[in-house]
Amino acid sequence: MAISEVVGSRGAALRRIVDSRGVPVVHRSSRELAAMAMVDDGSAVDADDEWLAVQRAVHALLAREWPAVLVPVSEVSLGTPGFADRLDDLADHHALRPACIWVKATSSGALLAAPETTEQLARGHLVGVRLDVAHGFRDRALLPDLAALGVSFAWIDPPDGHTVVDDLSGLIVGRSLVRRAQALGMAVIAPAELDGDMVPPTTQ
Amino acid sequence: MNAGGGRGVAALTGAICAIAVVVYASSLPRDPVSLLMSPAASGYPAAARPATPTQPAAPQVDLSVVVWPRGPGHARHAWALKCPPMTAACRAAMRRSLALAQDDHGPCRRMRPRMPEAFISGYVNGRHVATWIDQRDGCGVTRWRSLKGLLEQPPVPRPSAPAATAERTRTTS
Repeated sequence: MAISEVVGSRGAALRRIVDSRGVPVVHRSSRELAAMAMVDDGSAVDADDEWLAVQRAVHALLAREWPAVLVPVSEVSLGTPGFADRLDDLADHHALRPACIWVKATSSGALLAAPETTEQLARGHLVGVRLDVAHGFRDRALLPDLAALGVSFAWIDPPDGHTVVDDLSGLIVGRSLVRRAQALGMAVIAPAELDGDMVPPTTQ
Repeated sequence: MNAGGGRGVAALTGAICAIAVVVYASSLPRDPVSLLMSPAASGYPAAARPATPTQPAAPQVDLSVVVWPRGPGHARHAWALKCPPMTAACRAAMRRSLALAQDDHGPCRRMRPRMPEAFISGYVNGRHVATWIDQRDGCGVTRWRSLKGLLEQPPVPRPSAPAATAERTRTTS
């Protein structure tokens, strides 16, 4: 399920994915494509709340006949026993084809704290990870472990909630993250300024 | 006469209230952190708190701990911690729950290889925590030390240790 695709700023990146793959993005608060650039890590601390968001996203997918949907999931859900089973059951119940659900984890730690869940999710869905340039060195070191668990896309955010990567060290770290993720066969969704000097993606 | 008697009753009532306040205050925890975070902060002793009859009581500590002793990219140890039963690690988690609740203390782009890092997520006294801890600066070292009892739990449980202290143990490289 690895995808080799490098895209620009978050909004443009998602639009390009939508254009090329017909993949819309749904966030539990926005649910609309127009707000996809605002997709960010959830602050929910309740597994039920996150599960409702997943269900809502899937229902939106079905209602609009979208081919896939992206849902942010935090360590709360990933640490809940049976979360992957519930997601599989939901996909089976609606006869969704594999890779219909893109699961974006809020951090690398959230996935690595629940390796069995991550592996199970990756078998039936696309699993990605949100990476923050502010902690890029740490996340870059963890990317091989994430890839080994089946994580197939990297969602790279500018440091600490900024909208752009506007300093040299951030650019260096961010581009390094992009290259490492690419080398591991992950799709990369990153701010446009990290596009420069990238290694062309390899086709799988 | 009546007015004087009323003043006497009022003075007696005031004295009783003052004594009651002093007794109540002396029964409260002295540590402001435990005042904020302790289950007793609700005003009930832990054992006397009303329980929901249909649901088992949530564990006071329910954490996933992942530690990279030699830094990210190297072998990691992961385990789950549920309390009760109370262990040293549980006590460390509850005593330092505010340290756990802290978020990362700012961007840190310097890489010092092979420095231990950890990711802890879950609940302490019903409060959600999800945090990275490292030793890349003074704040991180202080925080790590304050949580040492939680972070340095042996990755492999001793045979005599209660099973609940380390429900899942996994070491990967």
